[in-house]
Amino acid sequence: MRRPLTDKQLVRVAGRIHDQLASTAAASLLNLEAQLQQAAAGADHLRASRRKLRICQQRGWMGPVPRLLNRVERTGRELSYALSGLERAGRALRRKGPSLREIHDELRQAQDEFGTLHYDRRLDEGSAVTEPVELEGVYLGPFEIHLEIPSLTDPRHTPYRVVALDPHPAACNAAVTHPHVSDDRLCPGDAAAAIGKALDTGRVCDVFTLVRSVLLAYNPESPYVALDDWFGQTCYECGYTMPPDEVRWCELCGRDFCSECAGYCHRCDETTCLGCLRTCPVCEEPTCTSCMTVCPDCGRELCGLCLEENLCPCHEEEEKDDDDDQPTDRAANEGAEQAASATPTVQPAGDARG
Amino acid sequence: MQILFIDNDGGGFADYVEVADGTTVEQFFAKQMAGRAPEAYLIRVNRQPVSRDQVLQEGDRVTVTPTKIEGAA
Repeated sequence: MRRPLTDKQLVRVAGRIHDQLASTAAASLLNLEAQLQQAAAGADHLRASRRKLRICQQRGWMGPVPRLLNRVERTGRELSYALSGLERAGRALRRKGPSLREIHDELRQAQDEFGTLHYDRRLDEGSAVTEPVELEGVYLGPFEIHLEIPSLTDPRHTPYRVVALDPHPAACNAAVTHPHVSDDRLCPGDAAAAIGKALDTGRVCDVFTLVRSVLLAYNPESPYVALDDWFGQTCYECGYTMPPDEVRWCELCGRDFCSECAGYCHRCDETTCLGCLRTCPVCEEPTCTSCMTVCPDCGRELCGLCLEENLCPCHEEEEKDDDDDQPTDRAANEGAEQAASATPTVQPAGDARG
Repeated sequence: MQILFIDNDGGGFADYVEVADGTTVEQFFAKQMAGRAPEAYLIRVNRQPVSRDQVLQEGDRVTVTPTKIEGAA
């Protein structure tokens, strides 16, 4: 069990944090100097442009004016940007950083809030441990919030991470130890602005308590993994809870099924649930409802391939009917031929009176 | 009288505010955090947990932090 930091240790850690925050002030001074230089250069350009425009005006030269105007406008934009930067740098410098005493008080308060603080001298990190977290019946264990002192003032880096001490990660992703923590990085959501302000002003205890407040809440609208899916996904048909590699997603109804309740269409090879599969009455292959079609002649449902190949049973019946009808025709033709050949002779009319 | 108010709800507001003499912590919270339930917040005065009827003094530092804040992915 970790012992609370002694006052001497708290002072040492406070000193480290104070030094790191002070380095921000030095960086702000450099930034201010750079912005001043840019603003001064812009002012020089504008003075030069003003001199040239006056010459043009005195001598009636309108040719160079458009180019000079473009230059004036461009310089004006750059100057405006530099002046905004000056204002920001000045504000940052004017902001009073916390004193060593204040940071020490922050650490002491954090130790009171969390029971104890820990300082890793090698990593130059302070850390606090939360109570075990349980969200909607899902136990996630306690988390250790690490404050990375060297990164406190690095705008490119989030200076804290959240490590699960008794990990119960999501079944589908071992890196997700909390719905809002992935790879030890918290997505602070609604707390982002407040944490940023607290970091800027050295309110270390507020950083720890704000991170803890995020860990103690669940936002179902935006988790890395939803708590409903924490232990794996449930088959929509039979309710079996399956590990991620057994999940079958039906392309047609868009739901998850286990391997027992899913199959695949032998026409398009897509995975579908058994509910979205039919059996073609002709080829007897499992076929998804998308690949099934209706015979335009008889209205029978069959797969598209069987219809294309004219394998619908109604077409076979039709052919069979055609075959049955063919002998009757032959007999009729033969009869007609015989009738034609047996035509009686017609006697002349005179012979009949004789 | 002036007290330093640090509101860690939302954007994080930290500034001095004017408060009437004799204002209790409960009254201060009801005014600054109108409509919010005190039970949903960690309220600290000068870094210490206090009772709701504690009367604020000139220069006090009051911090209000939600106990639960929604994260994201």
